[in-house]
Amino acid sequence: MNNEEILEVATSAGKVLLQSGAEIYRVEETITHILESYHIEDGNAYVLPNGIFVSFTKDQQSYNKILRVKENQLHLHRINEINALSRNAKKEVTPPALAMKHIHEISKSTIYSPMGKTFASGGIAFFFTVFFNGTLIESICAFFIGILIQIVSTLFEKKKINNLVKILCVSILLTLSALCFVYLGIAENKDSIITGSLMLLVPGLAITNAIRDSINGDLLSGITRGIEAILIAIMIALGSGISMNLWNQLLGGIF
Amino acid sequence: MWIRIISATIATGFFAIVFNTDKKYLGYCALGGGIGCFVYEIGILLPYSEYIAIFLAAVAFAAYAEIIARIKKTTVSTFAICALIPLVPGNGIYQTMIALVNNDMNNAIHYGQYTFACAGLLALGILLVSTFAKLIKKQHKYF
Repeated sequence: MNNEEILEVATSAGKVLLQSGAEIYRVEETITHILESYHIEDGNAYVLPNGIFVSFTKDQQSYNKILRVKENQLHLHRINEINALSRNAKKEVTPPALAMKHIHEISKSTIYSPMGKTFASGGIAFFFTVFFNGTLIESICAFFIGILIQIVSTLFEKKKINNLVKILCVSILLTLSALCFVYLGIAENKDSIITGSLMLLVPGLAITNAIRDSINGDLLSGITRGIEAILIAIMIALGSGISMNLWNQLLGGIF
Repeated sequence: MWIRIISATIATGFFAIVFNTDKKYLGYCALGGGIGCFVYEIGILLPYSEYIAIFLAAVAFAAYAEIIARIKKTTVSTFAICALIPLVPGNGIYQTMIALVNNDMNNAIHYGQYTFACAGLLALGILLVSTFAKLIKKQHKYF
């Protein structure tokens, strides 16, 4: 078996995991696990939130690979698939070419259409507005805001705009459109609409991963992701603050 | 109260869709959010502080995520990430900002402290459960 190919398989499995938002220890364990399944016992992986370093020695030759990983988007089912793949690798050895093909398929797989996700984020905004004691009409307003947010964020992601800037812009847009709904007299209470749709931007992934990384001893990634969570929260607050202030200045504080 | 719990459950289910969860796990994700919210609502009714309620809710949903991940043989984060969302103090962030915009420093500090405490307690709850889960986990390595 070609050692280069084995290295390729292990790192690309790690890359897919890291891009889909897995914890650090899971990426490291998967890489060493796959290497072990090809009878490479001294494989080492060092993973950061945005990079993978893999190295092993075989037949008195050392093999290394460094990967820079960008664009994180949460794909829970890809994590599950890669997890299943590496668990199966222990039972039976697949040829590297086949495993590579499989990983490539996983990295392209999607379950829900963009339309479905847009509708779902509308639903999130709707039900969280209900959750924060909104009336039915306010919830319907939030539903449309949720759809708008999802469309704008996918647009920003396609243009590869920085995540924090994206959240700032989306949060400004969200607050302004909620204020518009109130200004036009469709809804009465701006608070429940804004809080309900703000839940769409909340950094749930960053918080969970920061905690789980810190527990597993990957303090470096824990801190990085913790700071990411704090920055996202600040951006959300800043966005709604800016637009609220601007609205008050321009329209003379109708609230 | 029941309206809040049900809406949180459904909203968590929709979140699972946005996070690309497998279709077969959608229901379990939603249930996790519902359990967290239910424990929180019960905790508020108790004569203790609201922080206790948040902490208990975090412990409840984290334990649920660990258990269901063992049963379904998948990753814990599949369930934990979704179930966390209803408990995140989104309202606290917003109220802090409103107070700041209105130059109301008393309220800003009050809500800001509340938001940080909630986030910290959420983290503590998850941390506690997954640390204890590690003690039991040893024989199954790959969850």
